[in-house]
Amino acid sequence: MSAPIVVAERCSKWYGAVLGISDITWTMGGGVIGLLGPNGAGKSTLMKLMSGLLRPSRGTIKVHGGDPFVDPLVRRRIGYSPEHETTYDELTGRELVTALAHLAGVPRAQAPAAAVAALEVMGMQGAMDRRVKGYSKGMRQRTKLAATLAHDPDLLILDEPLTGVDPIARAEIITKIRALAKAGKTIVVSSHVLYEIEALTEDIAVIYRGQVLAEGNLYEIRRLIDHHPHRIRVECDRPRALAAALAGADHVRRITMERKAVVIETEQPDRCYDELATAMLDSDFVLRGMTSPDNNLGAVFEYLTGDRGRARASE
Amino acid sequence: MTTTTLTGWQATAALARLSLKRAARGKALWVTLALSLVPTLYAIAFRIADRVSPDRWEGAVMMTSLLLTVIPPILVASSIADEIDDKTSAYLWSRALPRWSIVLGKFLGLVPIAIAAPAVAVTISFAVLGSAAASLTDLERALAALALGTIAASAIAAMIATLMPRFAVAGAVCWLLLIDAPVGALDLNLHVITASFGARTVAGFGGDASLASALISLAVLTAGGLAIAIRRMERIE
Repeated sequence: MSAPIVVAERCSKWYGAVLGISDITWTMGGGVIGLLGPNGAGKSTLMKLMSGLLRPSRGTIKVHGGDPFVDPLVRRRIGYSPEHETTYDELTGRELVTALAHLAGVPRAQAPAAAVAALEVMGMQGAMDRRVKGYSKGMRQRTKLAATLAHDPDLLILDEPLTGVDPIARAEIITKIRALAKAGKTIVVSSHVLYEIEALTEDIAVIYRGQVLAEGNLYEIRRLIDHHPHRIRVECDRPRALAAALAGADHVRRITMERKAVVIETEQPDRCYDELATAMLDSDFVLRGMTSPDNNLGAVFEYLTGDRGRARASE
Repeated sequence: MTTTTLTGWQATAALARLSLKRAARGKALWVTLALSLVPTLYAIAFRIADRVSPDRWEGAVMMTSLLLTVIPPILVASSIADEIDDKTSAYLWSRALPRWSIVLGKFLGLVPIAIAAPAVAVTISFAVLGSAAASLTDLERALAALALGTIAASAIAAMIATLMPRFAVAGAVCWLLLIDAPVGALDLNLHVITASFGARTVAGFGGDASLASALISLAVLTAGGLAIAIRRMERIE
């Protein structure tokens, strides 16, 4: 793992009596890290703390070794894109990004060129001389992202960058973010939509009720979850017969019938896959498809934010 | 590309330019210009009726000074409050610039407009009413009063914007119109703490009040308002 870029130690933030994040101890290295959690989980609070917009109520958060709330040198290395889409609507895209690039430390003479370069990266060169007021949500998001990277920061903090954008813009933004990561930027991206994070990275931190419930690679997270059932959905010609063949196995926790498929929940995926293969061959089942819904982050998220996740969080 | 950290004054200048550009394209500028027509129309009405006198000049200046209760809230308070309330402050706070530069940048970017509009209005009124109503010295004092009064009122508006961003314009208008102006008109020593009294005295309509105390009062109001606004801006999360 690369040197830590963000280090939170027992970091808590309250808004009056409302809890933002609670006692988070978390270290983040490079690459693309997805913050996953439902609305109100604390993702935006954590990102604002990282960006220097908020200061912790208790504990500390360091970015590149410094306190982002008090240290402008730290903030110079950060590009933050907020969740909301409000910007300076009176300005054109070019003027907006130029002004924000200059305020971020790009010399005044170089700011226009830096802005145009960033807008080109985000595919906004064709609309950059129109006022932001007339932009679609996707164009606003891309302009915000251009403003985030115009001063060439090391760390990009993108709060829900895909919210409200249409599928085409979504795909474009995902491609751009991936390209930025490939170019060596460290990117923290948040979403409450599972497949958005999944499309961007496998390295995630799951946040719920102000706490980091789990972090790491999707598969590492799964290992953290004791007794988390693995689901295998098998489409075949005789799903009921297949279900009967596996019903007695001790590792099978539950079998659910669908119209043309059977979903098996098992605590021992490897054994289950072996026995499935054996049953298929022995009884000449015609396999039409086999998927593991658990490979989608949704299963992990549901589990972690479900009752057992809550129990875990309160421990 | 090399990036540097802007000094506070560089950031202030950049924010002043940005605020000016935004104001020049916003509705607030048009409202300001429309309001500034009122004293001019007043002067024109008396000119047409051929009822020109020093009283009409005083009336035009007093009417113009009433703009001080509206224009700073519309320009300065709304600009600062919208930044906080619309959360666009996130773009500024996450950048490497001191927060005091946000208050000062907006103040320095917008106060010239807030001064220019009533100054033009009172100058036109002077031209319309002519030398029978006022001398050139009267005009100079009126312009100085409007400039200093606007600066003080803008500082108060900035303070209110940071204290209650959601109701900044209404709050600033209420303060300046319902508290500052009536208290400034009272024949009590308390009136020295108001921008309206200071402006009226500088303009030459403050009775026996001393010009020095009016100038000090306006300076204290400006410094105090800005200090509270900056202090508040540094703490807002």
